Amino acid sequence: MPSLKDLRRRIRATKSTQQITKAMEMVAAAKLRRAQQRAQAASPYAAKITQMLNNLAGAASELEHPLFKEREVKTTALVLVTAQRGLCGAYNTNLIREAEKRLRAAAPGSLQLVLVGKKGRDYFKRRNYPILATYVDFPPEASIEFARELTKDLTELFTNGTVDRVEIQYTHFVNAITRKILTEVFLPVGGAQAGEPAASDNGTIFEPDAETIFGELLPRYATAKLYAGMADARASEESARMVAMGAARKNAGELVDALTLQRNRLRQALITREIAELVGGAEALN
Amino acid sequence: MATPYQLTILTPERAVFEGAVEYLEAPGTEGYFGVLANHAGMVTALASGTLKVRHAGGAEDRWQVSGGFFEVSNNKATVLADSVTGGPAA
Repeated sequence: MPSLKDLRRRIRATKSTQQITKAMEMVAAAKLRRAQQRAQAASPYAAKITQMLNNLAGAASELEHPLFKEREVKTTALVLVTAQRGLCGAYNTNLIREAEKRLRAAAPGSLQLVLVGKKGRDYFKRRNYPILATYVDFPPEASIEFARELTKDLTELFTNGTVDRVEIQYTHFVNAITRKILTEVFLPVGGAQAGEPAASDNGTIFEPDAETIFGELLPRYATAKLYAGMADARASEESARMVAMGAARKNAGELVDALTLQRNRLRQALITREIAELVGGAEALN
Repeated sequence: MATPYQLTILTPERAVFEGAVEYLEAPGTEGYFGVLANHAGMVTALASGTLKVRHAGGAEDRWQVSGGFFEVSNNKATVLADSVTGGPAA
């Protein structure tokens, strides 16, 4: 049976936890809004560049580019986008579990990891899986510079033959309470449907020529896609954190109520006992 | 007065400008070029340089762009720049 003092201390501690989780919930909500805005601001560019790529691939189907070529897949790089920080419920755990499931199923060495984010690194550095690269130093908000750098590195892995395919795995933000883990093929760039003929491709002038533009377009398309994925992941992370912190705040509130009730009962019991003792003492004097 | 057409300037991070313009001058990889309304369909790569725009009405704006693409078809022009600085807001 805890003493009155213990109970008071626990109530105070739980209340301050509740305050912290409440603050974190609100911070996460604000960051979520910002992350969503970023993701939305990026979508017109992504849509346009996808359209251009499709038009181009449709207009000139004989276009060739190393990034565009499907190869026989012997090794795959899995880019796992996890969070930099914890306290976001099962967000990281889900991503890591999904990745590990694939690693176990794959033939040894055929699936290699590229870890983006501290949480993924922390988990996989103590385990025996092949890791190609790790990225933990990048701005907290999705950044196009980092997306460019990562695209460059991944492209190099792909073109120098280290891997025959690059996939990215991240969490897609559906709404404030729903998230979905997605795995998408990043390289080769297969998103372009060559069969789709452009609306008015006849007479379109290409300067300097279609091939050069295609070569310029592909890496930028890849970067845009990566950036969109990471912005999406950021929004998911903050929404996961918001939900987790909301749940923690609620739990803390319930605990405070239960403890307060217990404290009041104990206090009442003590008072009753004291009165009984006083009365008993007075009786004895008579 | 020249006929206006639709221009959109986009970067990977945000939409910079959207509106009707009369004329624009952009830094193509093969040199600066100008575009008026009813231009033939064209796709070109951009170099770094100044993007000059004359709005419907005559006012002019300039942006610094660093690489990207320009596309025009059916009086809809799009600049997909790697990054953009300047412009009326800055």
